[in-house]
Amino acid sequence: MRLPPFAYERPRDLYEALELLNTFGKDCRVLAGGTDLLVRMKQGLATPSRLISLKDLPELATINESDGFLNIGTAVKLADILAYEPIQYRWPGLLEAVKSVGAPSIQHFSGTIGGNLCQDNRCQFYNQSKFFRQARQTCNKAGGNTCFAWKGGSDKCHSICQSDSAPILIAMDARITIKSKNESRTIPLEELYSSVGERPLTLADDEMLTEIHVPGPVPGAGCAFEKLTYRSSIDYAVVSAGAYVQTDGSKTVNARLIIGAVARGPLAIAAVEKTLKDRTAGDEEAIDQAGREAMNAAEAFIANNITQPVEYRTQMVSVITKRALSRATKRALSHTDVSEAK
Amino acid sequence: MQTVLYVTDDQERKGNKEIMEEFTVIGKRISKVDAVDKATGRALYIQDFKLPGMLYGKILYSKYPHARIIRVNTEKAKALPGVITVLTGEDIPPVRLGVYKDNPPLKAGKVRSYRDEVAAVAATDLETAREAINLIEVTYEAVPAIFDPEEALKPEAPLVHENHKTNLLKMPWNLHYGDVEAAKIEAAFNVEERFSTTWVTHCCMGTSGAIADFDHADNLTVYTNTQIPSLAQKDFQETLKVLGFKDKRVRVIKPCIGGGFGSKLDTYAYEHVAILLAWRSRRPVKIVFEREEEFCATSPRQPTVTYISMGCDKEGKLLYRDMSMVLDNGAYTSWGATTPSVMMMPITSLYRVPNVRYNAKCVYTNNTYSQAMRGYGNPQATFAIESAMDMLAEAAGIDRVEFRRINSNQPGDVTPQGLKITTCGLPECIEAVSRDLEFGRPREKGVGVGLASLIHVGGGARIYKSDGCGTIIKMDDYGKVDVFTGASDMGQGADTIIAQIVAEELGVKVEDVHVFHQDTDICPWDVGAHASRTTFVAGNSALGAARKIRHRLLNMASETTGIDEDKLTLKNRAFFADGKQVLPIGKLLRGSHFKPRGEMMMADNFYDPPNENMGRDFSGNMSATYSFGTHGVRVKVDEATGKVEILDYIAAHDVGRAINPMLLDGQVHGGVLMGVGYALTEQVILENGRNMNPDFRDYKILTAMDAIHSKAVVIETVDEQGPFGAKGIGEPGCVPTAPAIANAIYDAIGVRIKDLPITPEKVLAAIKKKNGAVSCGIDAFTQKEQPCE
Amino acid sequence: MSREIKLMLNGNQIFVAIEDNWTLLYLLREKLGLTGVKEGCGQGECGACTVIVDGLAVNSCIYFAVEVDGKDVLTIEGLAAADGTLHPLQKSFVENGGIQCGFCTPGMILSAKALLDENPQATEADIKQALAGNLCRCTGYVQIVESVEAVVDKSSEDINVVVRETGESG
Ligand SMILES: Cc1cc2nc3c(=O)[nH]c(=O)nc-3n(C[C@H](O)[C@H](O)[C@H](O)COP(=O)(O)OP(=O)(O)OC[C@H]3O[C@@H](n4cnc5c(N)ncnc54)[C@H](O)[C@@H]3O)c2cc1C
Repeated sequence: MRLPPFAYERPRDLYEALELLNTFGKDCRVLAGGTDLLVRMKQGLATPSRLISLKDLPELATINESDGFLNIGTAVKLADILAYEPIQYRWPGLLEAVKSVGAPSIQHFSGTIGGNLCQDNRCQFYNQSKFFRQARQTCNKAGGNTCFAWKGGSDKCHSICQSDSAPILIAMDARITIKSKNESRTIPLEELYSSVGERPLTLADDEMLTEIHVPGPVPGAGCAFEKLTYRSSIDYAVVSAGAYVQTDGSKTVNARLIIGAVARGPLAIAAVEKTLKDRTAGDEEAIDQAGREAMNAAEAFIANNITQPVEYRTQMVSVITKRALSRATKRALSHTDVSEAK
Repeated sequence: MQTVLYVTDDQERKGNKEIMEEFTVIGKRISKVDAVDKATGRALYIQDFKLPGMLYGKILYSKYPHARIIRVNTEKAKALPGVITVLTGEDIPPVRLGVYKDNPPLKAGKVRSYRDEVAAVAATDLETAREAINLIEVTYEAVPAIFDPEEALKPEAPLVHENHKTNLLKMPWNLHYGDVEAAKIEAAFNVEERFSTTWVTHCCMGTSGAIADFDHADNLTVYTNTQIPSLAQKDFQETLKVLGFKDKRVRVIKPCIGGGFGSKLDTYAYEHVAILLAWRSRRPVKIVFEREEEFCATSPRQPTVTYISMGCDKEGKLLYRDMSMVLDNGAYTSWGATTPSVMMMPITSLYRVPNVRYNAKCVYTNNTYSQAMRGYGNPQATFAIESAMDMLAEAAGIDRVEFRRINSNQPGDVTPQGLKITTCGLPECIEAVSRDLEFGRPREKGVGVGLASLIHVGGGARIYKSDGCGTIIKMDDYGKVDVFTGASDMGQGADTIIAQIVAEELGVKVEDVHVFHQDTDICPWDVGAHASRTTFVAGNSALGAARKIRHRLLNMASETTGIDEDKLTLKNRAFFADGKQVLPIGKLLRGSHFKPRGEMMMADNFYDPPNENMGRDFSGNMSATYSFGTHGVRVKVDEATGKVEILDYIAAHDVGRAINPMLLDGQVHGGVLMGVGYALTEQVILENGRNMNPDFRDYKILTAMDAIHSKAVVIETVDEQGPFGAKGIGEPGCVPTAPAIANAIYDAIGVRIKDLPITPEKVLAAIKKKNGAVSCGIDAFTQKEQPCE
Repeated sequence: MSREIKLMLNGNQIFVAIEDNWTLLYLLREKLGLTGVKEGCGQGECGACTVIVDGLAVNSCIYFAVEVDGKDVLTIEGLAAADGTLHPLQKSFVENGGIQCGFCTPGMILSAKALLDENPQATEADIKQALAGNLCRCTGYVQIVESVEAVVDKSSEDINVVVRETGESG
């Protein structure tokens, strides 16, 4: 299938890319691996008149560690992250998340980490062909004013953020660098997400993501990513969770839990930290309670936006939360000395 | 009759010497004859064909599940540069498709499902055709629609076809053998239950497509993906007749097919639309489906609601089986409506059961219309029967394996429906599974085992008046063999099996045999690739033709060499006497061509198996032999998420003889994984008739990472009727999978899921219900209470 | 916009005029006649269109043609040797029942090749992982995985053979 015409730009350096963004603003889109964008263009969901390819920007495709951070360029391919050896023992949660994206031949060799974080929200009523959508009214996300995913309709868009890397990276307190022609800012990753279904990212039209900074593991901390799917590959998550747990060797001193694939953006469950703090690390009752809290918090967001029933997904938030927290805790307790951790 | 056991998995051969005779190609793991073309990308599928001057066709489908068409405005589409022809239902003569002739290729007046074809465009390129479709304006007036077949039977339900007066198809599938009511009184143990299955679709990797091309004299050539070239030819001929062309030729050319599984058992609107567009534009027209169309506009396996009751005596002998079914036919009628004819077979004849009653209703709804899919109804029926078998065994307090042993079919049985069981490896299949799966192994939490068996037609199936297939064989100057068969290959390897059979009989190598099956102008007649009949029927047909040639060859060789015919053997491309080569076949043939009053080597054969049409009471020996099998599975259930993992899988099949064990394994492994999808993950989600998951993200066929270690065990019973003893095996692999898995889940966690697919949410809801939870959740789509159990 | 790109295609350098909005699949199939590249879904879900770009298996249906400018592209048509000798993977798929209807075969073989080039000693789990984006409806994947495994085995045997030969001559 051919796509509607657009201009293709292949800037030679970041400055040129940012200049193009500055000039053409909202009519253009950044093209990374294209594994999300092309499908949307084919379905008529994205109709940019200009694409700015990141393929020739080696400065965005490097991984390095400095000042206690793992710095990943936005255009780093998922496969390159998997191949970066230290991630296996230092950031295993990130490994789990990246590995779970789609299927290798589809996503890992073309798809990028930046594209994964910046992919638009999804919904079973929206991510369909033009023909499919034509038979209904235009929904909020497509510029209309109704929502099929919300029982009884809604004036908000209830699409979901399906990025698998977002929950774990936010749980690990990752920061991102965003650049425009005139400005550069580094912010917590969670601030990238607006929680507005119609426009889920806070990026301005002339801005792009350039780098992700993941803090190195500290002694006594561990992270884990859990993703529930019906098949072993290709599937987007039914529910996902990124967990970060820090212990002093016996008690939990800090915990973060981010639920993915249920809400308009990654969903931070604030209550979990309070619940786990100062409790014995791995205490089952505490983790159970955290699971319930996550479920209760998520419940208000879960819409009929994927093919699995709302009720089931709600229940699964608790299960996936518990599994992610348990594994993160286990890792935390075995990683008391990071330099030796392997 | 001889029953000989040959279990290939442990390479142990038992029994009769006769079958130990040395074959050179039969029974060997021979590569598919088309494999190199496919491995090098040279094989041509419908997608790959282009004819000079060819136009691209596109179809506009309905926006409503049930509506009157008030107006169709095609002006803008016609004005688009590059558009050659636009057709609507009003522009075409009354062509009608399907078993009931209730389906026009383009609809006028009314649409009855989202899948209804409303208009079509032919343009010089695909993009233009696509754009033109979007420019057609249709005004509809929606009318009340009906989607639930049980609801559709109520008197107040809207009618899908007003002329038909009722939504119930007039196909009375009713049978009663013995006396079920009396047996119910007599039975010591009874079970009664409701089961349901859902829409699943074939998901051929190569999408559907056709090219229609008229010559100057209005003869028609159709290149199409079909499993039924000869019957398709007839359908297209009828369309020509309606167009006013009498006495014209129709030629059907079949490219490589990217998977069949029953989807290509009928001709469809798109093929006839291509013909109509070609007729109007006087140019070849190609229509190829996009994946979304493949999901929405091809005919899936239909859902069923089954009520079953079954009882046995104190010793565990089955006394009766009583089943009734409602089938969602959808808006039009294809072979899906006739699947009860095959469901009858397991219902009356899977295990010995003296009293049987069955009734099935096919019902029009405003859903997509149904087609047969691998097993032709058998998977739906077997799901209910084999689930109920476990329930009855439990009620009777008899071990599940033992219960099946007690009731197993045996060679020589004649079932209540009149099926004559000749060879029967079912007892051996049950043994193989129970031994291999270690049913008695100590229990682990959340882990369980289950088994289920199957019976299927293995020697053709007399659905039409004929169950025949023709073959022509000719040999050239060099001893090379051309086989023209009516059979269809859609990837399963029919051409390879036929080449092996012919090569074995003629003492040549498989690579000396070229099998033509792609062209009705060249190949003889056949009723189509269905009912796992190809190896048996087309194989026998080819074998018969090869025998004639062999006979003639020996005859001539004897004349030429002066050696007695019965002293000559034919192998390795030559005649042998006393272990020494006396004459190469090629030399003999050249001699016969280059001599006064020479002759050529050619033979034909039409084979129609010794099976019977069903009588008025549906009894009759529909197949010349029957295939049996038992599947066993060990599952692990994640009780927190409801996900089911398959740990071990064993599939034992009585195949008569494995002509090519490698292709046989392939049929079994492929059937099993398709069956696992049917059991656990696959489901066409229709929301008020609209397909909600027309893609591989949400229609979950299993991936390489979900592939299971299925172990295929082959039981060879060497059937007297089969070519070299073989029976059909195309479909059985996916028949007992779902009930085997459902039974294993019950064994693992004590909940029985009676509605397919067994998704995690259903398993979890059932666990909760068992543990005393009140609500089992609301189904997101139906907004109804989830069927907990 | 149209432009000319340069690429190595199946070992031959070619220059070809393309439009920016063409997918790689469209260029290969419709413009260059390489119909061994199959389109199964058009949305990056089935892997039938898999080709190898600079050593990596990618879905050509969601890859822009313009992005192969200056790159090396391998399709199934370029896999066998110039004299027609099949690549060991092709041979193995043929001999081990890895092919039924054949529609997924080109993509399947190329995904497997990309894997083995990277990791000649791939395990069964590696193979399943590498083929996870290539859907097949006929085989249940069993004989496909076996076909790839057979090549893995052979390459390790080959190494043994070489060692033995040097041992003898030395
Ligand atoms: C069959 C299939 C299955 C999939 N399964 C999953 C899955 O399980 N989990 C998952 O998370 N994803 C999944 N995806 C989506 C997608 O493939 C991955 O998220 C991938 O990582 C996206 O990366 P990309 O480089 O290809 O993104 P692209 O398609 O290039 O870009 C995606 C979006 O991000 C924007 N973008 C990219 N880079 C930047 C930047 N630096 N700054 C600003 N905006 C940017 C683009 O403009 C575009 O809107 C799936 C896709 C398919 C087709």
